[in-house]
Amino acid sequence: MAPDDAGSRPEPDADLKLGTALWRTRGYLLPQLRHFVLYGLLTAFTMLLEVGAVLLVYDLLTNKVLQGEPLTEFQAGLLAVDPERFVAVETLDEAARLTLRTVFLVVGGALVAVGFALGTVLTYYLTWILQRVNQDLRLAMMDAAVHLSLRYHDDAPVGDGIYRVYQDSAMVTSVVQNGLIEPATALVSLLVALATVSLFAPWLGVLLLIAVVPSVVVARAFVPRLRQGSARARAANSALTSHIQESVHGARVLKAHQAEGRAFESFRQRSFRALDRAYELRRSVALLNLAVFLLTALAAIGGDYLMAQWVWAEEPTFGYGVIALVGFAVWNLGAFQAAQDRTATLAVGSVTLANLWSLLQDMGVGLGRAFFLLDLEPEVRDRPGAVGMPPVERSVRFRDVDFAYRPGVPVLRGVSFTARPGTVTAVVGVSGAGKSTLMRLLLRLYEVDAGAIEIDGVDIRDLRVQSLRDGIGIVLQENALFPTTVADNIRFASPGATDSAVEAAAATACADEFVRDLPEGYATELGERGAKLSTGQRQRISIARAVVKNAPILLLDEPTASLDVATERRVLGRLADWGRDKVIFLVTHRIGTIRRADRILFLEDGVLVEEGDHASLMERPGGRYRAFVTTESGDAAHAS
Amino acid sequence: MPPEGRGGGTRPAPLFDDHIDVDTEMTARDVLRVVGRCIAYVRPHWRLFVLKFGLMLGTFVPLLVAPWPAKILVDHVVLEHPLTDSAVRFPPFFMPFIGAVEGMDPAGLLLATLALVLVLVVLFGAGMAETRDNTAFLAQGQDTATQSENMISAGWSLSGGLWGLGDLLCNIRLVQRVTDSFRTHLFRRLLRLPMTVLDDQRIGDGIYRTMYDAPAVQGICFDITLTPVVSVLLAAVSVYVMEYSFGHIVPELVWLGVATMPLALLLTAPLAGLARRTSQASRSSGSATTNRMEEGAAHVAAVQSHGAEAGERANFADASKESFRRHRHVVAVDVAINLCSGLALLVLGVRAFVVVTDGIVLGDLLPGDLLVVLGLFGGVAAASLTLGRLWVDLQKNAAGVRRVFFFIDLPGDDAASGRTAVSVSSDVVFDRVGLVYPDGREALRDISFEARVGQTVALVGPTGAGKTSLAYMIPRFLRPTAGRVLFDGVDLGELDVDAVRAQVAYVFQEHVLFSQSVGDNLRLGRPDASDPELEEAARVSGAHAFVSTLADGYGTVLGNGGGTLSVGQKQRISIARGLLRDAPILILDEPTAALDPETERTLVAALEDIKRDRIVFVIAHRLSTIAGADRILFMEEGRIVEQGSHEELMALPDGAYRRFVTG
Repeated sequence: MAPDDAGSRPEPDADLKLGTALWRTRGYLLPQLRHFVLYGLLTAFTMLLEVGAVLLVYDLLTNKVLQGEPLTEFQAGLLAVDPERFVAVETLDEAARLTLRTVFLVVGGALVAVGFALGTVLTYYLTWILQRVNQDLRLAMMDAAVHLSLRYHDDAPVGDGIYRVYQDSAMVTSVVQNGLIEPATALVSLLVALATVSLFAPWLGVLLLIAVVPSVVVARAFVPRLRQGSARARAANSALTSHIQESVHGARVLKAHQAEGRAFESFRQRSFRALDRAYELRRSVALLNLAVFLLTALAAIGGDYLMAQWVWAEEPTFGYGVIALVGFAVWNLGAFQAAQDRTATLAVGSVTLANLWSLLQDMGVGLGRAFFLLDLEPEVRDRPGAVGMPPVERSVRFRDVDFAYRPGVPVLRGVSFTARPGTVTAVVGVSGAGKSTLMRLLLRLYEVDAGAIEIDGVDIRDLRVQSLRDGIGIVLQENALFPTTVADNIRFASPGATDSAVEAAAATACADEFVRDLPEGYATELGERGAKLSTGQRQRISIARAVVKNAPILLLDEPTASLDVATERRVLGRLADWGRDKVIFLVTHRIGTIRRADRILFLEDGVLVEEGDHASLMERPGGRYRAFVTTESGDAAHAS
Repeated sequence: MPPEGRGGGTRPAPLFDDHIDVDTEMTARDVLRVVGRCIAYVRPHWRLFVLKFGLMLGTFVPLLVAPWPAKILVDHVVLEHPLTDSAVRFPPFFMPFIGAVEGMDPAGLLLATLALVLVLVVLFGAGMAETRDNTAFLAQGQDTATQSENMISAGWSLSGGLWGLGDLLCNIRLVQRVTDSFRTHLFRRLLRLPMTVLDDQRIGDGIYRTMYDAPAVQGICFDITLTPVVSVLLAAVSVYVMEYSFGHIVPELVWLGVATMPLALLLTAPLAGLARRTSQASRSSGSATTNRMEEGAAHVAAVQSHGAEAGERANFADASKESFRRHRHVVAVDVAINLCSGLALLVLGVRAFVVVTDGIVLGDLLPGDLLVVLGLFGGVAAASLTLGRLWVDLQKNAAGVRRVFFFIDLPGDDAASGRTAVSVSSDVVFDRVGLVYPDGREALRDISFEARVGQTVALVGPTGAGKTSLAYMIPRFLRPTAGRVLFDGVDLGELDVDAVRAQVAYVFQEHVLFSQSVGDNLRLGRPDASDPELEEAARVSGAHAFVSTLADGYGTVLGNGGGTLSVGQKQRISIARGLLRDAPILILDEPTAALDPETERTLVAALEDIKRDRIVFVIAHRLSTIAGADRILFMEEGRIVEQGSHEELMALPDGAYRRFVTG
């Protein structure tokens, strides 16, 4: 369990360009367009309130209330106050100033109240919208994951999938926030500030604009660092998640081998590595923020110097024609403070944008990892014009089937046989001979490399995958039970099954007898991996699961390996009665079970070497099957 | 703690609930106790903590100094009031600067002040009219899990600039170290959970608690160490300046600033319990979602084989939707709390504003004082507000931390330790052993037998007879509720669990392989085994032949859970792993179920050799595996009904064993 960054296989798509990654999220964002538009309108409204009111209120406070300058005609009209007292005077009297303060408080208070109320509602609303976006992406990813070929899952750590669906996909919620809303907000307030400043003095605007140029250069130069940092941090966290998943999954084995200490040590290293990577990424972000802040702050300090000169000289402001409306015809304290405030907004806005830039790089990498999962082509999928499963009235036929999990290592070679309804076909051979693979191919968990599998003469690749799998009941060698109730576990492949159907199936599988003894019968919840039941009991639940599905084809992969002889005999007897009209495949080592099959397929190194019923195969001198049975004589002796 | 007895609670739908950790309610006292325990995780990192503390103190410099250059720019530069004309006394720490610029004309004063501002900006990022907190949050999603991911590496500083960078980075490191200590402790405990708990423990839940609940610890640690210190200091310093400079003019301001805290506390405290419960609910549904994801991914072969993709997706969709919904509740409560504390600030802020503007209109204060006073008042109010929210934040984080402590506190395997020196050289004895599960089911009753070194003991019986439970008692995966198990005459209860397990190699029915090399998988129980020993074990279990054909032989790294190996192949690796462990007791649970007859024969023959200096227990159904055993224990319904050799038992007329094997 050496720690490494390779929590996942190489993935070219994690290098998805930022723009491409963001653009691809539109499929998840557009469905919520109505909500985004409404949210945008409400936000724009609050911003307008703010921007529109600021100049009015600012002048009112700094020049009128604090210094007693008279109002303009326009202001007096707007506030409906007596021009005699408020306009046509040298300085305002105390009472007038206090009246104006009340006006300031009322207007300001109203703005704050409206802003607060709207802000509160908008926070919740935005959460709701973004969660819907994320839910859609999560589901798409989960959908892709459960449909991906086992070729992917055989190698992909479970924890990596969890990390992608959880953490990487969450970046989609920030696309709107950090890729659209916040940059737009920051940019608008930045431009408004720049425009306002330029109205006071265009040179001030130019000075600040100049500071922006090196900021952009620095931000661009940081890109490779940020992206690499993000990719490493995500890979390290994904590896950590996988390690936890594997360790908790295998906790009992670790315990039995007293390997907890090493699993723990390995966790510690991975945990540290993940934290180091996260730290490095954040350090890059902080450095970029600092660099941009210093650049713009320097320009702002220069601005302060210039403005002070202008105030002393009582120079007219550049846009006095416009600004005169609110009182800044010449450089005075109000103008100084308003402009200084805007330059500060500009400096802060630049840092906000730089920070968003960093976040976007990180998000781009995360989204790349999320889309990687979506982009994997499921190897098995419906062809255009795929049809439903035929009724399986004639045959299930393998024609010259070749298959390999990895190129160059063939698992099945030229396998051909036919199975008919109402027969039991036993697949026999040493472990690793390809028996289970044969079953997986029939289910189209993988596609055959050459040859074809046909049901009633139709190539299964021309069938709809769902329809094919609906038509096959299966008992797997490794019994996957879920931590839900016994009944739900039996219903796993046929959610619509009634309680009585479930109980009937359990009876066929000889599961009814012990299920009834459980504390809450069929409603008893099973532990993780169904661990409260013995292996033999779990095996019977799996069998019941296949029975309740009542499909025309039944695959039994070592269905009774953990059953005692008597139970096995009862289960198989009932299954045989139940499945008279079905095509049954049975993978097993037990001779007692095999010999009752209508036809035996003997596999060796992926080649079908012998085929026939027990009697005929036993008659073959030097036959492979015969040799196989002889070794198993112990079982054969008593299982007749 | 059985969930049944707890009536009247508002427990949500069982689908999203935990099976083990069911009692999630906390009293104020529980919260405080949890808070106290969290502090222990800071202790190992005290150096870093002290460093952070020092850096943080430094960030007060710009907070204190920054308002003054701003005032000078307004009052003495722009408005050209002489410095001596100010009714406001400059604070003592600012006097050196005043002394230096005394007598300068406004132009000189402007340059000197801007120089000071420049220094403040580079060092602390402050001195501009508006600064903001310096944090290091990355983009996050809209649920507790992704937000926790950010919290693991969270950091903040009151200042920017170079000092702020150092402060921020130190903070991130400290947060990471504390979280790391906490989650590492949790993980160690998870690995030591007793077998019975592991059966019920869901994997996704383990991931969730380690990755996303554990980060809550840092919130608590800082809320009760740094946060109060920062807040009180911030408030105290601001009050001092306020009192020093404005106290004689507007004493009311000081009281207004201080009053923010009790008012905020008063307004938000009723929501604290709600904050904790919504946080807990959100976390438990997050766990459920992780469980769904983990199960779907881990069982993908079963899901696809059964054509159950749609159902699996729907299950996940439900869980995920619910976790989002519950997170929205967290957001709603948070918004309400902000509203309440915002209200407190608003009421007092308006009053402060009125007081100051009164002063200006009446001529007691200069216009530039408004900035200073509001800045100072803001400092006190913000600090008070943070303290006012403290209880809410503690409760919220306590929900996450409690979930971690739950597993840390669960009695683990190593709870009782005793003698560590033990080795089995003669026998294992079961003396009237009984086992009753916590839910009242009786698994074993009155089990007595003796197994000597050199013997093979077969446990036989119908499924559910208690064979595995019996075998679990030997390495103390289960502890007897009656009677004793003895190694060489020593009761296992008196021995250290690790010492007992060192005597046992256990091969399970389910084959769990790790995604590492075949060799490392085999060496799991004995990391120092030599290559020849490794090969020998693999040969006996029949694994060597196919491992040799793998691309890199024993160095081949296996995929997820063994990747494309067949079940029989995985079983052979599991057996080899048990053999390699080379312990005096070897337990094989259904070793031959998935083996072909030839491999089985090799294994059974090898057992003859292996048992020479060991005791071998075999649980099996196959006669070919059982028949050669020295002693067969035939079990039914938790009891041993017959014991003896195959021949002896077959000789019993109408014996249960005989009926069993002949069907």
